[in-house]
Amino acid sequence: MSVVTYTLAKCQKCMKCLRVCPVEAITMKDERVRINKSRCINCGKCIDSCVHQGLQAKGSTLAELEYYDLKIALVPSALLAAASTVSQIEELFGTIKSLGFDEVVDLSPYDGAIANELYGMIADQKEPYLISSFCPVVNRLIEVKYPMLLEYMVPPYRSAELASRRIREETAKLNQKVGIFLLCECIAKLPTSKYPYGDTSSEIDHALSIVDLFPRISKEMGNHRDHVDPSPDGLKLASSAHFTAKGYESHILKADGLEKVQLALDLAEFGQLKGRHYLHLANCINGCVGGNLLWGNPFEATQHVSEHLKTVRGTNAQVVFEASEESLDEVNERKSIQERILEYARVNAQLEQLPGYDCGACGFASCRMMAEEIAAGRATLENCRIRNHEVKS
Amino acid sequence: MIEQRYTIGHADYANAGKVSSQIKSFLKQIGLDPTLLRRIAVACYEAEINMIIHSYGGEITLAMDENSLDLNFKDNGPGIPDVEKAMTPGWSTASDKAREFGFGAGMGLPNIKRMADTFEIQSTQSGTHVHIAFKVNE
Repeated sequence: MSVVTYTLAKCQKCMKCLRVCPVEAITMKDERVRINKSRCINCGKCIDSCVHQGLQAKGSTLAELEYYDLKIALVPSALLAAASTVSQIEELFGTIKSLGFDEVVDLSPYDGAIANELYGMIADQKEPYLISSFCPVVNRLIEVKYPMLLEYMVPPYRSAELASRRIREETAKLNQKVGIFLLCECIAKLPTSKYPYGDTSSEIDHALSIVDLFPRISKEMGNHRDHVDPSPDGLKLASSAHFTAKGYESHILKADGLEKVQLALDLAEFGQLKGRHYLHLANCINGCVGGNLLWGNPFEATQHVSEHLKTVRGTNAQVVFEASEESLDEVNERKSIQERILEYARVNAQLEQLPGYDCGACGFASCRMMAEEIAAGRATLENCRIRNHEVKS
Repeated sequence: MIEQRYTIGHADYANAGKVSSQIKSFLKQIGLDPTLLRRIAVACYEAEINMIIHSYGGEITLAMDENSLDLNFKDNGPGIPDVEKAMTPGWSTASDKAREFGFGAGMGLPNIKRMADTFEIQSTQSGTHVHIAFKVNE
């Protein structure tokens, strides 16, 4: 599920990535970075920390367009916040179309439909919590680190899937090969299409990183125009500052950025968010409008949404929500409780031999992780550089 | 059998919840059933906060084997004058200082009892002992 790719030739072995990873998914072994694909939550912290471009997240390229007869681009609501006026949104859509698409679909009416569904769920929600599921990073974080909160999550509705399903229905009779390309505002959304790691139930053919398109968009900007009628509800879903449910404002807790999200989830586990029945959580600053693949900055984007909301009046898509096939599951191999207790004791015995600095010099993100490796026979105490130093001196 | 021991300081608001966080992360490492984990986390947090607000400090011990998890919260006084009253939902003695910190809704002990499979409380002037236990067999 991880979208992060590693280039050995560019890696300087500085191990910054290993230290910033919030889920200890990165280790350095045999002089190369290894990413635990089942732990990675695609938050992008390692990519941000790597100054040598050794870690990257890549989408598909426009070269894929030639394999389709009818090419459709899906534009996320967050991208509307990159334009400062509604007129500029229309220029942006026209420009995207000029890159080789037959149609450019605005996802904000679909996000608006999801927002509407959420308003109803928030109004009905009594204690304890309902947790948003629109951010793939938050979803994965909860799977990996907060499994006890999984049962509170909103089903993972995705506007891009809803729109794609509709497009497939509408184009089924055309007898043409239809290619659906999702423009992604953040790296975590890249694997939500078929590229490059399969979600077999997806109707999307390719995910494109918006930054990759930026050079061409900026060159063509101003020469094209396509009509767009954005949904205010859709824009609000993408912008943490603007999301609300009328009459239930005080029931909503909004947290953006991974640190804030983790604090909210820690408190939720202790049942300490009294009176808050809905948690609106996003990895990117200010929500999806601050997506880590967008060229603007989150503060400007939020400002743009405020401006757009003064004028946009687009209606929401008519969508029937069904339970999604994709379920959020706990990732845990089930050994017996007795085995797990014994294993914990074995690991702890090793941990007591280690300095507890979590320096990462051994290539593992924490002393506990190193202790687990030693207990499993994949490492030895000699791999600890601090310990070696102390023994020698 | 795993045993752990933690010390709680008197009125140590700055560290409120830290022991519960350590216990929570230990239980996640063990990979306990999420629903059970949540019950333990909530009960443990409430009991820890109770000790910080009301007692002169004390000790939390944890013992776990494949059948059960036992938590003991033993403090050094001053004791609860009327345990029955303290078990009544909404009844609270929290000081204004504690309330300023958002504590003292009067749900602490009833909540702990509701979360745990076993709940015992003994209180004298020299200290209060709350013992809670959870069945862990799956």
